[in-house]
Amino acid sequence: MMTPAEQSALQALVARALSAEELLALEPLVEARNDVGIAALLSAGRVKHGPTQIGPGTIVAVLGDAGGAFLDDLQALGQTDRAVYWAMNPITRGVFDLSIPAARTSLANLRAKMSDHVDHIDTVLTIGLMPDPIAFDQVSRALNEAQGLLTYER
Amino acid sequence: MSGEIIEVRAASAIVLEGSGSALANGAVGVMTSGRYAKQSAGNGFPDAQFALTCQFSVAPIKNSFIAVYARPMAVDGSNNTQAPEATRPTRFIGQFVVNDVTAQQTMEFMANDLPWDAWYYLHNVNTGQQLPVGWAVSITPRTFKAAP
Repeated sequence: MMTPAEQSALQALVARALSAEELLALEPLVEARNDVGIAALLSAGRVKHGPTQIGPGTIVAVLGDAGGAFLDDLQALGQTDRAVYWAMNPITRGVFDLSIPAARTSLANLRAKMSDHVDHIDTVLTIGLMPDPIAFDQVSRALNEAQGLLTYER
Repeated sequence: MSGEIIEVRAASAIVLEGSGSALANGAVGVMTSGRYAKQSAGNGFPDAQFALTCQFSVAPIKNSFIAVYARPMAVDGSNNTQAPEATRPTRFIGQFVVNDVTAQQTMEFMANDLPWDAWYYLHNVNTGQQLPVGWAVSITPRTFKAAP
């Protein structure tokens, strides 16, 4: 049975609550201290945004034929929306950085203003996504702290 | 040839741990009979070959390490050094290179110039798996002498 301290340590590692299914699957792995297996289970589905600067070329490449219309509509919106107006500058220069959380939030907020392009915005937001695995030594460190195994005084 | 330097090893190994407790990846454990004074138990032989025999339940990472640390005792006649931690070996002695098998495996390394008197610890550095109950460590003292 996983102790509350072990459970808290693993939840702190992934920065979220673990589901009942995950806890069930983790139970034997923690019991056996299969830290490689624990890391693999906790890493499933984890992604992060790597440094990603995009511009018209990337958008057209990702959206295909819809990319041109999306950029046109974005530029048109910029005529009335000053934030979009200035955001077009880095987009045009190919340096709009999707790894900045605020940039992704701004882009996501455009769903409300560009209802025809909600799917396109969602697609653009996936650019630069990469796996964000938990390393097994992070698991070891967390569990060893929880279990008091980092040192042993004789 | 007479007078040539030749290696001499002790007649038998000294057991520092006969059946160790489970040792999680990244954890440090002391060997049950792990206090070894080379001037007495080792007949003054300065070096020793360390041997670890163990059997993993789940295959560990190939070429990962299990390290041996020493905690020298009474270094100024009375005071002991700090017990090793996972992030601070008091004195690094050597490390075993692990194979990615679940069959029993035995590994060894030669350590030179051991502390006069110390407790010995095992650190599961990065195998990724728990070292199960039952691992054993022994040492065989070694020195050199002039050939008769």
